[in-house]
Amino acid sequence: MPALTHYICVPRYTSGATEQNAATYMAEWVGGVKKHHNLTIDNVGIFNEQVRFPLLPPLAVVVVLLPPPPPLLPLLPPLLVPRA
Amino acid sequence: MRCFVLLSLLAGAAAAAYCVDGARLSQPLRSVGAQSTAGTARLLYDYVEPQRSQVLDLLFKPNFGAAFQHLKVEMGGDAQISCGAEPSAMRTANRSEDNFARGYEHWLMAEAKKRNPQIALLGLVFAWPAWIDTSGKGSPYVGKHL
Repeated sequence: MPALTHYICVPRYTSGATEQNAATYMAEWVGGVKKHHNLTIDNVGIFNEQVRFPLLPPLAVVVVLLPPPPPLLPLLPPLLVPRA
Repeated sequence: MRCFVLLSLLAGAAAAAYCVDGARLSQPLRSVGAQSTAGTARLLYDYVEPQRSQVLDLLFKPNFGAAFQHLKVEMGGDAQISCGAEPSAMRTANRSEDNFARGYEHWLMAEAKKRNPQIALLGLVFAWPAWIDTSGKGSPYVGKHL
């Protein structure tokens, strides 16, 4: 197992089996990449995109009110107007 | 420590305080790089030569093109991630069944390292194989394990 430069992966670490499996999975991946491809991983991390649901209702009430678009007919070039 | 209080003009939105600790601002942006996750580099893997090598040169060769300084790849989890799925090297808890030849991220890292030996490599997990979860709550992210 190569020595990792930084550990930035697990902010709130407990001793549950799932957490242990997750940590094992990442560590074994680093080791496997080194063993099979001779690549040294410098950093590992986790998914950090998270929707904060309590913030959704204030955002949901934002309604953009735009004036209706102007009619297109007056903007047509004169060439498109049928001639008598 | 400085604290900034930003008052939102939106009706219903509460005031939010953002605290910036000046003592911890000593780590500025150190590198500019690329991220290969969610199957986004799958098309590059399928390019024919020499065009594929030319693209890789433009991405990773120092002082040439983008000259990325780090490459972050997904540890494939056998699950759909927004625009693609990447295979996991460890599909079961049995380590003898590991297969690090799956996928193309290892190939991409090797190609990047070949062009720039100083490039930093990073790995992250988006989806986890099913054997990770022993609690029945789904992935460690969903179950709030992490």
